[in-house]
Amino acid sequence: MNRKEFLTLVGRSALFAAAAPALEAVGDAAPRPAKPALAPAQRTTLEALAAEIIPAAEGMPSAAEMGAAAYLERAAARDETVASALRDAFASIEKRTRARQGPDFARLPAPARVALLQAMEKDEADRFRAARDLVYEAYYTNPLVWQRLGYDFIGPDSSGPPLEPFEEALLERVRALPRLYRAVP
Amino acid sequence: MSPALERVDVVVVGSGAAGAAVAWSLADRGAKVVCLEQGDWVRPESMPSSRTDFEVSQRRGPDTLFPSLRKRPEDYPIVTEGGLRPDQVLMFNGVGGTTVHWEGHFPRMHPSDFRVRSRDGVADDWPIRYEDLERYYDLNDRHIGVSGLAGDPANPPRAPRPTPPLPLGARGRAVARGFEKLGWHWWPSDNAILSRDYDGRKGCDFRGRCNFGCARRAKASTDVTYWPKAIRGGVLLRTWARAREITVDERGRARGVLYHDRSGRTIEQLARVVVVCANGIGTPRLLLHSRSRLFPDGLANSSGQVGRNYMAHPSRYVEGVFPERIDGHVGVTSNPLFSHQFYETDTSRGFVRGYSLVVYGPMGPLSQAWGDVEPVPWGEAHHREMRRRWGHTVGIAVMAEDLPEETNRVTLDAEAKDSSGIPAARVRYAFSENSLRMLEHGARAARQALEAAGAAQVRDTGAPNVFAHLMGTARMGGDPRRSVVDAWNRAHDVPNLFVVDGSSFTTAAAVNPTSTIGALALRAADGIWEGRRDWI
Repeated sequence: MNRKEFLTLVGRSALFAAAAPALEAVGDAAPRPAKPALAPAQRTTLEALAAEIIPAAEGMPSAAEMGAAAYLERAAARDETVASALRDAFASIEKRTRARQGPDFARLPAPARVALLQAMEKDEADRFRAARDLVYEAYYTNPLVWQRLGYDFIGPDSSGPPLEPFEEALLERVRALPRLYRAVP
Repeated sequence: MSPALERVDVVVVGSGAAGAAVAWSLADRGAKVVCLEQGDWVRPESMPSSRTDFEVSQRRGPDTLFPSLRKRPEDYPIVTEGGLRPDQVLMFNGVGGTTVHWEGHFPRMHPSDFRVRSRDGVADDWPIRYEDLERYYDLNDRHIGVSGLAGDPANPPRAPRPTPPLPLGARGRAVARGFEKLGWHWWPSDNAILSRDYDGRKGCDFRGRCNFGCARRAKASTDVTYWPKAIRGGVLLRTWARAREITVDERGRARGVLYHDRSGRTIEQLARVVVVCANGIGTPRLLLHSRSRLFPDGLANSSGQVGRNYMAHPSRYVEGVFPERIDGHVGVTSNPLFSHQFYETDTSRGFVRGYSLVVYGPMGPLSQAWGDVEPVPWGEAHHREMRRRWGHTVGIAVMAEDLPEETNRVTLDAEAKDSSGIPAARVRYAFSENSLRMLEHGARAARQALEAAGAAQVRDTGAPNVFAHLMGTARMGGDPRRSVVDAWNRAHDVPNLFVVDGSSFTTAAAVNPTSTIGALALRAADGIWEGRRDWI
């Protein structure tokens, strides 16, 4: 089965979340780490974060539905820069949640979570950007998202789309231009 | 005392655009050649373009283009300063060098690029002319299988291209429409990407993602062009061989190259001629590290110019979002067409020299979301904005000529070292006022072109960046007091030492350097061969 056939098959399923584990294996051949990189509370926070960064809308699923937390947990186990960026994000979110004296981030109502993230984006731009970009990464490396978006990944065994050959007639005006490069004695 | 290997005619350090061409050319005529490459062979199929996470390699992991982030065992640390960031220095260490990761744009310099001082009163003239390189450009083009079209009025006439131009695609047609409307120059690019089967390699089938590896081998990295021929011709390509020092004899001639093999042993490869092709950072690093009683300031450095005049091609990026679908990610990664409307000097613009306009697009959905200019917003509006941009975005990059400045330079770092204990390279780079004025002009021009093409929205990064081309740090010149190598890439100070890569550029021009690097390498090889009676 080539990638296109695989995507077609998987794309027939509306159960994004159920399909996600199989898809992760497509782009991520690394073995699953023996020890989880995130504590259960962190995983819950990450799922809530992913759900707000890319919510479901316009016929597209949310990052949480697409398994962003699981993707990032695996990435964090392999790559310290990812783990560090997530730790920073968790620390900031926890600090801000505590300051509100309210429930955990994941249990806040959606408008409150968005407000908290907007404040983080304003005050700690680099830290927020790193977390946001990781959620984008988890989402936009997922072939199910690609299919919804209309991106056709051409794998090593497939050819790209046919493109029309260059039409020399397009150059009629340019060909008639005077020489543009300077002569050098 | 390190063990010494039997003396060969020529030892080449580095297997990229220059090293491969030099090695092939000399072996083809019967020279006994050894090439030392600090990395390994890389199978194109193993590169990120075959994986769904290919875009992540733009930022991290073992396949990123930036050695300071990649940190493979074969990489060496690069410390940056002067505003330069680690992700603004790009190279690859492996067979094929940085051509493994390049996009394949293959323009030539203009004749005036070799006469910068005499035509524009800045920098220095090269000691050679365009005409001196012309037949080597042609020869290199044939090895590469360049796709393109002769007849461009912005460039001197040239031989028919070995393969026809690549398709413009919808994004190229859109930008061409803008140039047409403005009455500006544009032309389909010369690319080191086959548009049809050629020389045993397959033509491009428009998978995109070119700089993440071309499993089809349509992109002309030298591991798939020169190296198979060079090896058939007898070149011994030694991988995992990290050059530590160029050794010299008591007369001050190069004796060979001291290198570390994979097991960490230190070995000296003796040779009659040494050719350094380690790129605009690796070459000055090696020369500066080759200190001796006769050369206390580094080899070939009596002028003090080794490492100075680092040039990198300043850039700005301007992006347009079109109402219609233009699929900016389809086709070759970069540059189906370019404009040299503002290439030659016109001082009424407020700067000297000029720039190219080159066409890009997002590589994939993740690049689009991260945003080359501005990220897609998070939250409620995310999908709406992503749908508006995805498939509708094309960018124009401004590639400006930066002038050589002694303060932009490569030195040895006092603390950081690679895994063999060799000092890291320290690179300092800052933009000149001339470069910034040129980029500002270029960004306005790019905006104008995209608007004329029909873009509904145009955004500009507003900040200068660099193309990370590595040039100028062992410059060519006629005056030994102000340059490192002569018109044949021979070191002024060491008669059997040659420096053949971007470091030998006297000035940078405003085009990608690899075509000129290859042509210089073939020409230098001719010079080395012609001078073989002096090899001793």
